Amino acid sequence: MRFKEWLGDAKQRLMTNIANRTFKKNPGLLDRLAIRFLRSSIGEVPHDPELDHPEN
Amino acid sequence: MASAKPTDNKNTYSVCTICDIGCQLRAETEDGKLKRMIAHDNPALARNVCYKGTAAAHIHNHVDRLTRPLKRVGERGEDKWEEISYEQAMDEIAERLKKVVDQYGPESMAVSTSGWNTQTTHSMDRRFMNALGTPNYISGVSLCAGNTAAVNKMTYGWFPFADISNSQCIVLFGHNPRKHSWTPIFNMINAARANGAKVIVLDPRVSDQAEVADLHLSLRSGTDAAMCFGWLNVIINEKLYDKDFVAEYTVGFDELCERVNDYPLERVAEITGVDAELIAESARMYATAESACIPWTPITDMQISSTSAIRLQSILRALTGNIDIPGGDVFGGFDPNYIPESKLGNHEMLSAEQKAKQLGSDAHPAYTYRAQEMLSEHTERVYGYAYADIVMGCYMANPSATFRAMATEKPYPVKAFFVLGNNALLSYPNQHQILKGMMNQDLIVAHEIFMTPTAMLADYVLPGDVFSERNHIADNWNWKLGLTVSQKAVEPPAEASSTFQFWHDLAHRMGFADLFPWQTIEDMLDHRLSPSGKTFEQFSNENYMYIQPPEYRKYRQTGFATPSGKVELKSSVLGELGFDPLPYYREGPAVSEDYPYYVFTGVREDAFFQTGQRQVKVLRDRMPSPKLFMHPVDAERQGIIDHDWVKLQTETGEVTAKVLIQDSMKQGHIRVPHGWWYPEMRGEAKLAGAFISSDAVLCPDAPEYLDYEQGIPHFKGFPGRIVKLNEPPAGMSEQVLAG
Ligand code: SF4
Repeated sequence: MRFKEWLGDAKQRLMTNIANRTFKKNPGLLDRLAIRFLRSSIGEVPHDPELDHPEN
Repeated sequence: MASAKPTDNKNTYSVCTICDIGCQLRAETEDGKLKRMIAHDNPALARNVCYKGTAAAHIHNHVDRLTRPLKRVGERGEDKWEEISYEQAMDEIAERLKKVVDQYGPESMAVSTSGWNTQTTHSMDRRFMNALGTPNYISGVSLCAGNTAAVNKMTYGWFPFADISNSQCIVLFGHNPRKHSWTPIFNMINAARANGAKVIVLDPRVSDQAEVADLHLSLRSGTDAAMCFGWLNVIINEKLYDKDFVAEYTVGFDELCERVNDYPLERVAEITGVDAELIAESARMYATAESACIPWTPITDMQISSTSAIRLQSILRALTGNIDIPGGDVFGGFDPNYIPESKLGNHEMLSAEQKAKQLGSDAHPAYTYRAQEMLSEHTERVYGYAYADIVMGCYMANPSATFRAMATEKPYPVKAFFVLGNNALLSYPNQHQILKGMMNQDLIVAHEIFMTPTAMLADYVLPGDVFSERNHIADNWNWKLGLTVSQKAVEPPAEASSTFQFWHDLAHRMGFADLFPWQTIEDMLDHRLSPSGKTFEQFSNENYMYIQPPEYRKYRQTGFATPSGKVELKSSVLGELGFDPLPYYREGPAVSEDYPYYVFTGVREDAFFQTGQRQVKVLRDRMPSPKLFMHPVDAERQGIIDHDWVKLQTETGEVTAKVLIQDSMKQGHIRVPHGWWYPEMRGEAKLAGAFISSDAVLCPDAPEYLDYEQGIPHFKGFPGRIVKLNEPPAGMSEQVLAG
């Protein structure tokens, strides 16, 4: 039970560390790998026309 | 005292503060003006944007933005002004505040604010108030999240944030996150659902979330506490609770069981109007999920049994072992990299004598100093600092008691009212009393980005800045760990400035300069980031966000920040204050022949946040007029058809609006949108139509309508009636009539 807990907790910490790498302004090699991993798992988010406004 | 220049257009990330969720967006500028606000380029954050956020340029560049300080020249509320310089305004405000304090004492100053709107105050308001000696701080968070934070602390010492994305079961008590309201929460729910999470919705309406829920319980409005008892009944009697956790980490289980037995399923079914079998099925679904969370909900915040209902939700989290685990409800604690506002507020500085004067703390102490300081030594033991002002909601005066003191001068006079980023007149119950209180002031100062009905009642109106015009690091007010950079993209117009600047400049004029050594927001951000070893410039050059890696089940090392060190199913704090230490259900005011409908107010519409943005064309076009929702059967009985104008009346006031007939409404219930006024009626109708359609006139704040422990009103299910109008109200614009 404790091992399962440890594994679940560790997974969340790892995911947070990966996310933090994708939040860098000047990404290094590992950061770029993290961004690539994110893009491959989430994909590109298409533009949503509901967000558009006319120019007043 | 020049503040930092706007950042280069490239890589400019700003935290949207149009609503309270804080999405990080990207700013595009042209010729020193905000051109567009667009979605994030990080795919994990790109969906966190709604059409209010992308309307930011229309708001920030709006022709009606306040840009110069205004001084009242007509009668109070007449909306007649002269422009004066910022220096003159601040000098006169300080002089007049000193006069009020000399005559009536420091507690005669009250401050009302919405931290969501002002953002960069860095708790300088509380610091100023604590230096001056007044405890009378009120905020919209007394009805929304802040009060929940304070009540959660009584049960287990902190206010957890639901780890929705990783959860296997999500319980929404009336909460209805949508694509354009609470957008990131909506996205988290969708992500969890895609991973197989179940969603249980408890809502009188068939809300957007209810439509796609695994289970929908259409309970009667205002009965959340009773429903929680129903769930506990099933969970305890069917032994679905986490026995090890209960044995090791809770106190009061036996007493709780006795109380739960007062609420057999049949009784709960009768109170809530939900079938007993469905209650049982949903309780089992929640309790047996591998992980489950009950995210904060604005609905439970605003009921006559709110304190009990909030505590019951905390108790459900604890009994099922869903506290501080992945996918459950997680305790953040203070961010190790950032000095919290709780500390900057300097709450130690206010004397016990002044704290005891906090309005409303005698009758309804739950979120006041009186109750919250009973937790101080335990908060210090577990979290390292005594004052945890989570979501700014843990050391507040009671709004109704404050406006009563402003109006009646009892128990003592309140004669100076400062209102920042907060349209107070329309934001608390009993709008008539608020007006009376404001009309009885010697000094009112408003700090706003647009003229509002509240600001129209002021002596001075100072122009505020907006999020694209200032640097900031958002820290979720200690609710959730993480630091989000917000960069200044453009300069504020003319003399518009931040609330940080306001309190700094007032403090220097009032003799508190040594307590306010930071000259600029950037100085403050450097100070706050000092535990990280970085300056704002360094931090924001390196990251646009940083999330502290989570630590779970921290209580195993520290215990809980309560007097017993455990989860207090039976609250020692409430007991000591003379309240029932166990949760209970209390019936709200009953409907009658005269007032046959259950009215629920405070409902958020996609196009607006609270009382804001009604003057922004691109948003108003999407929602031109206020709409009451009714069930077809009720409408037919009243002889009402879609888009008819009606008056919704209660014992204390009436709201004029159009009707939308919706199958999704629960029969016998009427839903009222929040915060309507008509900026286009400025100069024609009293206070720009602030008394035509505002839901704040409807709900009384007499004792029988208030939650005992917090003194917050029963916004969710009070009696009202509908009167059909033969003609629309006079003076409405064509857009309102047509929309
Ligand atoms: S949900 Fe919309 S208004 Fe709210 S912070 Fe996000 S973008 Fe801004």
